[in-house]
Amino acid sequence: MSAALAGRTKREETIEHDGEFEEWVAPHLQAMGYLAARLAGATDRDDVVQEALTRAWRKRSQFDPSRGSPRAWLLAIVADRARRTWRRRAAGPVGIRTGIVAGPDGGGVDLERAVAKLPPRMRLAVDCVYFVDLTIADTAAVMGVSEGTVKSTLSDARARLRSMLEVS
Amino acid sequence: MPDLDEQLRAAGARWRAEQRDLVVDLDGATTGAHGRGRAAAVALCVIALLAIVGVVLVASRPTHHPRVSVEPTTTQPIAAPVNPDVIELSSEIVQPDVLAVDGRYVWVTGYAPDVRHTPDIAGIEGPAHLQRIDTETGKLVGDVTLPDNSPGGLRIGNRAVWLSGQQGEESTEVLKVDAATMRVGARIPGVKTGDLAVTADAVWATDGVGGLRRIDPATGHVVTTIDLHSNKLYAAGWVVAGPVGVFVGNGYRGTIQRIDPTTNTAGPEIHVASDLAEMVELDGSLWVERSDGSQLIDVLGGTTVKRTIDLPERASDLATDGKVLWLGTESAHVMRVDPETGAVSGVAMPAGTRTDAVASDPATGAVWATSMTPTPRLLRVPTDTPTSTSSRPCSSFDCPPGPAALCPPHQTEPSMRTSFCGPKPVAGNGLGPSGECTGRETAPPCAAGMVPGRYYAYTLPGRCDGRLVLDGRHWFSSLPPPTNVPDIDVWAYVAPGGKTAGFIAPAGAVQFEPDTGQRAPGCGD
Repeated sequence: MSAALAGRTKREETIEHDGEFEEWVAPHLQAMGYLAARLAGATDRDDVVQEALTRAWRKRSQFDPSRGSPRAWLLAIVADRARRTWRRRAAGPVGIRTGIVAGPDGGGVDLERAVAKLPPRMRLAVDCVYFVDLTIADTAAVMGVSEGTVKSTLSDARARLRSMLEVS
Repeated sequence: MPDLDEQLRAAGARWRAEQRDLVVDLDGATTGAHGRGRAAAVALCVIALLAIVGVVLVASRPTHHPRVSVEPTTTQPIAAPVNPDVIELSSEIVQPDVLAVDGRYVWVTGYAPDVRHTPDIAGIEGPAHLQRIDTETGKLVGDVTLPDNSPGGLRIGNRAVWLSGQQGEESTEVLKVDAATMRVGARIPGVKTGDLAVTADAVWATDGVGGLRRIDPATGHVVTTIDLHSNKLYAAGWVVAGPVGVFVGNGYRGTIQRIDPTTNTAGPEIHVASDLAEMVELDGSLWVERSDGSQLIDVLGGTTVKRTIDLPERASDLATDGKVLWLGTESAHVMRVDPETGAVSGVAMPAGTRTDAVASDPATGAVWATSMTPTPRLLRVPTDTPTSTSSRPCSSFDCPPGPAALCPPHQTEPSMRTSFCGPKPVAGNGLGPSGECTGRETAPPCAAGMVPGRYYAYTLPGRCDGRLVLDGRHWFSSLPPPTNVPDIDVWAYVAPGGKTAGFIAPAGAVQFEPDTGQRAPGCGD
């Protein structure tokens, strides 16, 4: 049996049991919460994560470690759930935050508002990398694009942010 | 004032600190009791609302579908060029970030204007334009409306312009635009946005799911897809072709693979860094940019990591004019890297600009950059003017002053020379410059991380200093620009507790904080 196959068999066995599922998702819960808060807002954060966990449990047999990490898989489910939550609400852009945090000089407010005005794809990249603190690779998995596209999208986003901040 | 990258990281940290604890029911998730009833209701709502959203989207879309159209060749001036080295772009390109130079002409494209009717994660933006500009007159001489909204790779060769396109996050395709007629000659569907490279008899396009497509430039047909033997999710996304060969680069794994065009097969992966992005070929080397733009890696012959060059600023794009390397910086200058010495210098661009994409035509030596500020524009990069050495900031590593400097001043400071804790070690327990085993190890693990209290020795060819960076698993050296000294052995040391890390070299010793990479104030421990 190949190592990869062996690993997969072990993983499938591991997440067959509730306690082990909890153990399996626990290291990623914080990131899931952050991502949900950025994409769906603070009010819906917990519901989005709850729905994502339920979906992850039901679809656990579809997780294939050869196609990516558990973290990327779980975050992609969160992004999908958040997207659906926003569509249900059909009001306001995804990621309207209730908790804009000002820096010591108050500059954080302007920056957050500028981030909120970014085109959705740029904002998603900025949210994932800077606010959720994901790696480029995990961000690419969440966005469903290549790592190179994440990098260029971030570069474009920073350029737009600079422009917006300079104008303001 | 901190740069935007730092501001965003600080804002993100503040935001995370403000988040209340997550409240979820893991038992509910696994039993389904919590979510089953609501899930059904949610499903019904989602179906209904998706239908509504779909109707709204259809109703709100432009009555015409984005189309491939060919505008007549025009001599319409974009703007009276006050400065022949600055060309203002028309409003169809709001964010020029894709560029290629072909003799006297520059091809440019980028994000289309935002014409969204409904905000969505994927976004709905107008079709992008590919424009051809005569750099001698500053005039627009061709414009093609593209079917996608954010084109990526742009390459010129085989009498055509090749682009990789992307519509939101959905479709992607390779487009062939006839350079003579400005018509879209072929649309080659794909899976994910990828990079492109052009050789005499092929166009190479990564497909983002573990393959490299070889396209016949004459017909636009995919001749074959080369299996890169990689994970489909974390697949190679970069490709380059030149005198050294055809290579693909995997940004996730930091590996390159040589492609054999005669057999259409991929060679073994060669690890060059923890991640990578753009690649160019120059002087018998493959030059690889790290994905965060912090370093350039010189891979001699595409096989051996010769050296790593720290960039004083984060680079946005990489190009070569056949003599030196050029990098955009997101500020009012570009960086120039001498491939022989590795020296990095800055070339000033007009005040208020921020360079992004850079491109060159080695046949003419012309180098152009894009800037979105103060307005979208092209900037000619002066290649024959003296470069400014003062634009290269020195941070934790002071720049070695003067010609043939031996070592940075801090390595000759008596306090540093004498305050290193612990005896000088013997060689052994080595890590290679990129974290690999050197064959001199005397105790495991050789590359899985350093064991506190143990010394590790390796050789830094041609450098007199280095530092340790902890990336979570490996320790590796991140080198300042090379200096003219013989090869030396360096011993790295992690203090018990892992709180400090040190480097000791014949000229002295320096300690760093592992978490920050900054110099520690004292010897510690």
